Amino acid sequence: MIFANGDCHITYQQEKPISDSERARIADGFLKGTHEYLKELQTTEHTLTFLYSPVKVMEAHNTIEPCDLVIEEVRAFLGRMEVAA
Amino acid sequence: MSIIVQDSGLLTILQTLDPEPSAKGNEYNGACDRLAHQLANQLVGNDKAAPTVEMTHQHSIIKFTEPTVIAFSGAGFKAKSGGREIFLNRIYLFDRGDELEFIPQKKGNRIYLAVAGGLKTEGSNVMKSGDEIIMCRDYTAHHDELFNMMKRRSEVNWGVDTYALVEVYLSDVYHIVRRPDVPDEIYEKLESGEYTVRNEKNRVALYVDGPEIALQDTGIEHAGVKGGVHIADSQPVLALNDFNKVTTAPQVGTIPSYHLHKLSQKSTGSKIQFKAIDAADAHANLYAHHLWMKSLFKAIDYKLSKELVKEKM
Repeated sequence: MIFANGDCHITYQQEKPISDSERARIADGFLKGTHEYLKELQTTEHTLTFLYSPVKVMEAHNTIEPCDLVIEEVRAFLGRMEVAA
Repeated sequence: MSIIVQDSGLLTILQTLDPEPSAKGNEYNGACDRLAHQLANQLVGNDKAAPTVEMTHQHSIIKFTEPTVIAFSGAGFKAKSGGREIFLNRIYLFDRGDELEFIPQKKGNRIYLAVAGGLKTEGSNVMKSGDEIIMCRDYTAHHDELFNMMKRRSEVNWGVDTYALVEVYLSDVYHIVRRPDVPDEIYEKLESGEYTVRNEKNRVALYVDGPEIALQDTGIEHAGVKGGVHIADSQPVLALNDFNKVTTAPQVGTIPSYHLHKLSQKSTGSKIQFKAIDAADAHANLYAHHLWMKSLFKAIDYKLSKELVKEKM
């Protein structure tokens, strides 16, 4: 599942553990890729948590609901990394 | 020249606004109270992100070694210098040999001290008694004007009024953004009573006591995010800036960033009431808070430029 973890993070969570090598591959993919709003990625055995600046998204899109736009970017990134979200 | 930390109190640390990597192994995990950090810098004409001295609970005594323009911010502090009363959110000029001592107050936990022209440290950013913090002296034309004005009167008779900050710091109600995997009953329980701060592990977490939360441990490994509310021994643990990167303590939600200023000002015995909200509501509140902060900083700029113009006439 993907959800807003507070107002500045989006978290992807799965029950099945993500292996260390898989986490390293995703983290590396994040570092090498370019992102519109995603600033940082924190990985754990079950989660990928992305940091973003909600005010930046709000002002760029003239909206006070930035979540959907950022979740879309997270989904696109996970798609590129071949993570089934 | 530098400022000297005469007495380092409980924890005195040179801190940046946002987390920053450090080649010297210092931990710059960002100011816990971002509002106070920015406010102090704005008052002395610095970049809002410039490092400040963050002092926790039992505060330091600072000694000045040259004429220095300062401001400090936080939630309800006072200080003294000799026989002079010093107030928060105002600009002061101190001279060589002056000492600034903070007076403990019932409310508030952290003070942020900004020095015009900026601060840096050559060694550890955790200050011990007798340590020096180097003044960068990155003075701009605005700083020069500020110094000239302060030389004539050493303090200004205006500042950010306490009432302007009441809305940010006074309330004990803390929003918690719901998670989709946490049942409603947990939020009902969290909202059902008042929690009391048992203690703070410095900059890591606040431990609170109140209605017990019976949450089944699903074995999920969570990321430690600032404001995260985790359950350990049936009680909430609230993550601060230096919280573990990874935790197996179940997470029930996250306190939004606009309530983290006042969270970091909570001390032992303070009260906390939770109110569960959705992310959409948190974002609406965040934007309102963002606009309020912008207007506050603009008001400071306006007032300061008016004073400087008056001085030139």
